[in-house]
Amino acid sequence: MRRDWPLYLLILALAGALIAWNAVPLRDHSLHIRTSDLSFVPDPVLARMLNLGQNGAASKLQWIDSFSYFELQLDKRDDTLRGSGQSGFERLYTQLTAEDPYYGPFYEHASFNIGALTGRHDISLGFLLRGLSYMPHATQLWRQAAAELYASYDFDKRHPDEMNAFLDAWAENELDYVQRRQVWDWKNAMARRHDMGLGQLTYWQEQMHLYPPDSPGGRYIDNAMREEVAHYGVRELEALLYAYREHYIMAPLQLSEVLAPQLVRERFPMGLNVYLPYTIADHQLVLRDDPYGYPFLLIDGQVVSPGLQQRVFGPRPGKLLQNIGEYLAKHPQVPFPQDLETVRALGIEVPALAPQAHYLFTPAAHSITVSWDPPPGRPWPLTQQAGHLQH
Amino acid sequence: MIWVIASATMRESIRSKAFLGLLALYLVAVLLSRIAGWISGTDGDVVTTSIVFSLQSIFGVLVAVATGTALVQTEIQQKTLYTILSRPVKRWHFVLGKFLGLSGSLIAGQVIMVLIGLVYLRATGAQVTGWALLAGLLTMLEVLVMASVSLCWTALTTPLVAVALCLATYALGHAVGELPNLLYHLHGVKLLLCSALAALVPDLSRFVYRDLALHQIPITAADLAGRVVYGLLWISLFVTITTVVFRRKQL
Repeated sequence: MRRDWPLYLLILALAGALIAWNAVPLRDHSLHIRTSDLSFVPDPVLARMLNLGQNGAASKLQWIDSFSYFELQLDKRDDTLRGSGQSGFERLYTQLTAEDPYYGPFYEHASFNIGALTGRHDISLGFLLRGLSYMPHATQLWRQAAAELYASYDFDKRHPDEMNAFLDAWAENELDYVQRRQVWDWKNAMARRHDMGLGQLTYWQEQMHLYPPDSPGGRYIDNAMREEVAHYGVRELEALLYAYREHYIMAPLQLSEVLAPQLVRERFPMGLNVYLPYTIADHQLVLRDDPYGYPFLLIDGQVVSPGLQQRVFGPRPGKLLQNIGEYLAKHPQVPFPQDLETVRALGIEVPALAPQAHYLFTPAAHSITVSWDPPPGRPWPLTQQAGHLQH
Repeated sequence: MIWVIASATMRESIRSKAFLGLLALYLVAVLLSRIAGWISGTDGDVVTTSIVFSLQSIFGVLVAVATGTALVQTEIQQKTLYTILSRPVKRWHFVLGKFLGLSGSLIAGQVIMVLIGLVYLRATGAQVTGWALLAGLLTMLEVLVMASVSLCWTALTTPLVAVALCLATYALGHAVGELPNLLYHLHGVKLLLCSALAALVPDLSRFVYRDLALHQIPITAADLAGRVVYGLLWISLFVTITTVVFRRKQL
């Protein structure tokens, strides 16, 4: 024991020196941007060979290690590799997804890094779709792919049918009911964006199933839907009216003249929806009645939905009573008019009514009401409207 | 007599420092695996599970190689082999007994590893499914194939060289599974030669179900049975080769 003391001393000295040496780098606590060289990212097949059967674990560890690469590239917004000039992220994630094709975060991060950072949305979308081919029920991948199509490709405006088909595929593969509802909401929102002015319709359609048609709730919903579709019809016909004036430099004599195929095609290049106030019959564009069964009218250069007027104003004569009141205030000696002819004879302006509406005078009560004939056509069966019409 | 040798070998293997040391190291590695999950930027469960599955394979193979290559050599060094062979024990009895004993200890080690791994994963909140047990079973088969390989290389060479050859076999065994994806580069004689050489190596990738079990991708019973039969055939081959070599050996 005594003879060995120099050796013990040597062991202690060596151990002390080595521990101190190891501790030196640990004294630096400051934050450094770490960089990692991804110039050598092997081909996916080679990478799998080198992993010695531990593809899952190796891919995760390499992914974690590559975070140091991200830190620099996120600052530079450039992931070009020296030499080959390839995208570092693309090569890295091609390898990682080949090593573990069932790990969703690889595809999500690949999409984010390649799409958002380098602007290569085509590659980004490619990763997401590759992920979906392995995991068709992965909600996050569907959502990210749909967002990519919407935000980067404006798909819902440029290719609404394809976007619709994509969302249908998502809904079909979605296992979670709540998520599936969100896909439907997305589709509804898309329809709202596509057909401005029908925003509440899908809501009412959903609510309609909760109330019997003849119940107060059912009638309220039916009225709300008819009003919305009637307003939409008026707006669409006015849009065509303005387009007609711009194109032909003259106003149409009849409302049906605005249904010029060229103008309609410009407005709805993808086809007509079922809520439009016109449709195709015998290969011709024809006007429909408004949702209440009255024909749309062109009165004083403005499109009018008689049914909507009846709904909004009911029996109230509106401006006529106001005009008569103003006249009688100026001429107190004149009695309240007995009929419409007297009003016209006095030079009072008579607002135009739809042909199905008539002024009813009650002079004793100084009252005028409007009565309406029944609609000549059938009110729209709104509960059965669905889908799109063809060109 | 085979069972006597097998039980003695199993006891000896389980008590060996290599076995216990590697098991302890496995435990430490499993405990540390959660760190990778923490820094992964995700919930970390999949990352941790993936690493735990891989650790079972890596440490299992290390145990198989370390104990397998030392078995016969220890018998020769301690001269206990001569005592055994002086009795009416056939050499194939000895080899088979040794392999069965080694297999028993490795299975025990694998069961412990699977239990440690699954309990740890469960305790740290990761999802543990029945597929993980199947993955553990196939990894166990991979370890047994490597045990038979180590026994074979030990019979053919020295223990040190056998360790190196075992590790090389392990690497090649996993590489050949990917070889079909590269063969399109070759044509004619090169293609035939490469295919023939690759066919000589046990395809260990057939026992890698862990990456799919991680994501709960099911495996069919027929597929599982095929993999098990494949493993048993390779084990039979290596044990038979070891027996032949051992019978011809001048001791």
